[in-house]
Amino acid sequence: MKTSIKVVLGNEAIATGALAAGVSVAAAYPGTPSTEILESIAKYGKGVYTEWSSNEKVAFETAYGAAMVGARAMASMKHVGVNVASDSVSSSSYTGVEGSLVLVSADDPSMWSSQNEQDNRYFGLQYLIPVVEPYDPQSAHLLTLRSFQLSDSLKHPVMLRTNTRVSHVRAPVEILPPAEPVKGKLMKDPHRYVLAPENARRDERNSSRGGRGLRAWWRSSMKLREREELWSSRLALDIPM
Amino acid sequence: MKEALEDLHLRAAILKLSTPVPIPRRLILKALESADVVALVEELDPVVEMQLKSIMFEEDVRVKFFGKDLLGREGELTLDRTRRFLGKVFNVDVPEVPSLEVAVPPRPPAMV
Repeated sequence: MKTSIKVVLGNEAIATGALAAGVSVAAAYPGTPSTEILESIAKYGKGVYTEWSSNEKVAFETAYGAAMVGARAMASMKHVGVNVASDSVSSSSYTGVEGSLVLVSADDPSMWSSQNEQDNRYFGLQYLIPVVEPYDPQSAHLLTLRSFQLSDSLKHPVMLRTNTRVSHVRAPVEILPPAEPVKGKLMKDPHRYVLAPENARRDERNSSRGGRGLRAWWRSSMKLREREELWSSRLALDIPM
Repeated sequence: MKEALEDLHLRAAILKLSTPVPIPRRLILKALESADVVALVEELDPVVEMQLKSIMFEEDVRVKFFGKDLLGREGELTLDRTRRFLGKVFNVDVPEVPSLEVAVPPRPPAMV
């Protein structure tokens, strides 16, 4: 595969990682340190639907809706934006997705441009959503691609959690070429996606289809020791230091 | 972490996690087998620490553990903080490094 080495922002590395993963829908609400992610997808992406949504919940739901019908989709926002989107983020962990769904949370330790400091990895524990954490632009690029692959194989949302330093530092990154955007096709599955209690209970324990049982499986104390095994076997931990 | 260890002439095996939720149990148990002391360096809250302690309890692993108790929760995780943390963990002196912090004049909000 033909790669090119460029000096880019961490956020550009995330954007190009998403393009290499075949993202077809990207929505965001701007805010430091997340803004350049969507800007870069809009700039470099071909055949990718991008939008600045009216708030973070709309951005997440735009991506979630696309992923429901099989698209590879991403929503990006700053840490406090996930508070706004959290209602729908919670639901996404019940229904899972048909395509892949990556939520980028750009945290801001030391509050360089934020009203508060918060650690959004808690959302992963709270909603049973796997969290992937890059540590420099190169890892951000690769782990964005891996997050899409992981979401695709689990049929479950994945959070990519970055921070101000990773997002805003510039470093040489070996950039993978963009893939053909993977789009969705309208299909209806109300018994899965309409979270009336009856459906939600079924979604919670369903383990018959693909990765949709992730939630039940993660919760189950019987499988406590196996849960991280599946996780680590699906996401190779061989990123060089 | 690597840089801080080198600065202080300390040797330690480093396990770097890109998957803080959930943490990879088997990988961690393997790393714990050869550890006398565990020093966990993570930014902000003890998200990995809580899971790690839970695994250590479940697996009956009793190793001296240092984390948020010495590192603190607030603010960015800097090289200097990591060095001071490791100094306490390994009980070694940490030489003072001249601060590179520059007092930038504050920029008032520009309201039109």
